Amino acid sequence: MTINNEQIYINRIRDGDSSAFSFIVDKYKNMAYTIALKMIRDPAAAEDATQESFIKAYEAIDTYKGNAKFSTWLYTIVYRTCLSILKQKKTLPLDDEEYNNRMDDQPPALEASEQSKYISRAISELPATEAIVITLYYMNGNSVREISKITGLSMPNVKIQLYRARKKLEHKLAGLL
Amino acid sequence: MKLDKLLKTVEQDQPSADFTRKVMNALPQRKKTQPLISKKTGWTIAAGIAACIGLLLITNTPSTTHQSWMSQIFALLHSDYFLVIPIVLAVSLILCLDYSLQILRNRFS
Repeated sequence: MTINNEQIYINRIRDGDSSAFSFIVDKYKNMAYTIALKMIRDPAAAEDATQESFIKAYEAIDTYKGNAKFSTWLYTIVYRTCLSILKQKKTLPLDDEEYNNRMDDQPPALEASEQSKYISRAISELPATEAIVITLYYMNGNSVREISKITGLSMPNVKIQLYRARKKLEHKLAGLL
Repeated sequence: MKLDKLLKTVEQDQPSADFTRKVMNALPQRKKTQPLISKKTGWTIAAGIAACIGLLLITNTPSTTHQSWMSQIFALLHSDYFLVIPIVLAVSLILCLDYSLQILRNRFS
């Protein structure tokens, strides 16, 4: 689906055709869920947060002006929804010390699918902000500017988070490199 | 860099298979409020008003051609036709209010 087609679906939703929203959900649900899971770390809660984010996006679709990519706008909603849920639960994101305590195990010989899961788990074990930045940058191909818009972090801060996350993953995934 | 390549191979997580259905079922109803005056009627009214103004100007012009432009304006202000202006303004205001209220209702409903 191209961006123009996407705009057609957005216009249809604005005109009251709610069924057009299913195309948007199908296109973005995996990445939205990945972001939520990296932040909340509980699959069921992450799915609820993703669902809540899509409903918020649907309700606020008239406010999307098209200045940024739709995905950037949507993932901003996902990120803020997850932050709000974490604040309500008073769940603190994993800090560096806790992360370092989890860094003791090195991967055994893994097959391709297992390797992907192992890397995904290693990313999930990063502090929440670093996990999100790495996920958006590598798994979704977002630029530093886009990540800055989604997370509200300054561009230099995004670069710092990326650098720190890379260093930790290099150590964690040394057995695969 | 090998780490970069490795990170790009990671697959996205997937929500449950019926995730889309669950979201679609949970969507609130979007009420699209229609304006009281349709677009077509609005344009017809606007065209009527424009025609009236045009007619007024044409019918007033010949009797005041020998006067200065200032005198022409004063002559128009003192004519009965000038009474039409508040009516034109009122109709325009109603049209604007109707569309503004429609936009606000759609945004906050």
